[in-house]
Amino acid sequence: MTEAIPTGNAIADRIAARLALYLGPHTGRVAVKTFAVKALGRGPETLTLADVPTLQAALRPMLRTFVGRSQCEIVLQQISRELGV
Amino acid sequence: MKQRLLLALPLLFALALAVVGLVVGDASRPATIAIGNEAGKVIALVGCFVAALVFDRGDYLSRAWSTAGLCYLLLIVNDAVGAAPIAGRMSLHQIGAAQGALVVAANVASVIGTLMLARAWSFAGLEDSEDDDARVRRRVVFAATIAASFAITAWPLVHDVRDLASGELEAIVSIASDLGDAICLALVAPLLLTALALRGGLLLWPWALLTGSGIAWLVYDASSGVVDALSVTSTGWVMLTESLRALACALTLSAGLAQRMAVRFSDRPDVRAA
Repeated sequence: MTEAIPTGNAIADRIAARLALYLGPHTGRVAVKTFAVKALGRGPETLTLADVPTLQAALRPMLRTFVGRSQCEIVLQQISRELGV
Repeated sequence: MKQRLLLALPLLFALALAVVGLVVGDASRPATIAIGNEAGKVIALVGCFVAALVFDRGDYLSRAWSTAGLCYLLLIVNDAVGAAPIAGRMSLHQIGAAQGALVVAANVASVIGTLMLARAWSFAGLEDSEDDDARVRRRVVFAATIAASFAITAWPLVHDVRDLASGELEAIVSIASDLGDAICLALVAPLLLTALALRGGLLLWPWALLTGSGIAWLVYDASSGVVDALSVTSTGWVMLTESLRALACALTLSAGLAQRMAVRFSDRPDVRAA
């Protein structure tokens, strides 16, 4: 697995911290990076609040796999609430 | 803390079975082993369905845990078919056919369920996040586990294939069981790698405990292979083998409970990200 370090982007780090509760800090950060690149075509260090819904949509299949449909939506709502989007 | 208890309780269960098996007399030991065996299947079944039911119907892990649980359910039904009240109403041929079909179906369910749990990482799309080194590491660990699992299951497999070649059709059931064991044991590698990738998170625990269960099955198969091959009658060795089976089953229960706890974690109103 690729080495993951904090991006320095507060939005990416906030989402990674939420995911880290379930996936651990390493995979939390790697997931944000992987799905940011996949969905937005750029790294997590460039994330803005406007990108959050797109990133959440990209994270949804992964979260559904690990925590199920219902809990996935709760986690995504928690992310939205924390970021105020 | 609760997760550590999930690790400690299976060890206590296995230890308790070993101690009871060693303490009781020779006359009571087979019954003790049979009770421990059935209790193990029941608690593993409970663990799988406790995990499956925390998800919505159709969710990937709901299907994975249900399929894994189906294996234990079919094995319990298989044992029930062999029990006197049911077996007494069937011919020997009917009992053999029913038990054969149940064991084959249980092994198929075990392989599919374990494969789905082992593939959760890839299914979630996280495989794309791996670099070349990680992919190589994953393949090396997988290859090593395949080699270990086939080294352990080769002897009974060869023995059963020889029986089939000599005309014993019942050996097909044993071969299905041997192959099921070999595949499930090989899948310990992706379970372990998933657990390692999830370290520090709540989802570490179900995969770590499943890995522990897989390793306990691996050692159980090796130990029971020694018992069969060398006709070991030592009480200590037999009870060690039986306690490994109990440990494997109890760790499946713990993995199911850990899965439930991890998924339900987000329901807590006080949950805050670090």
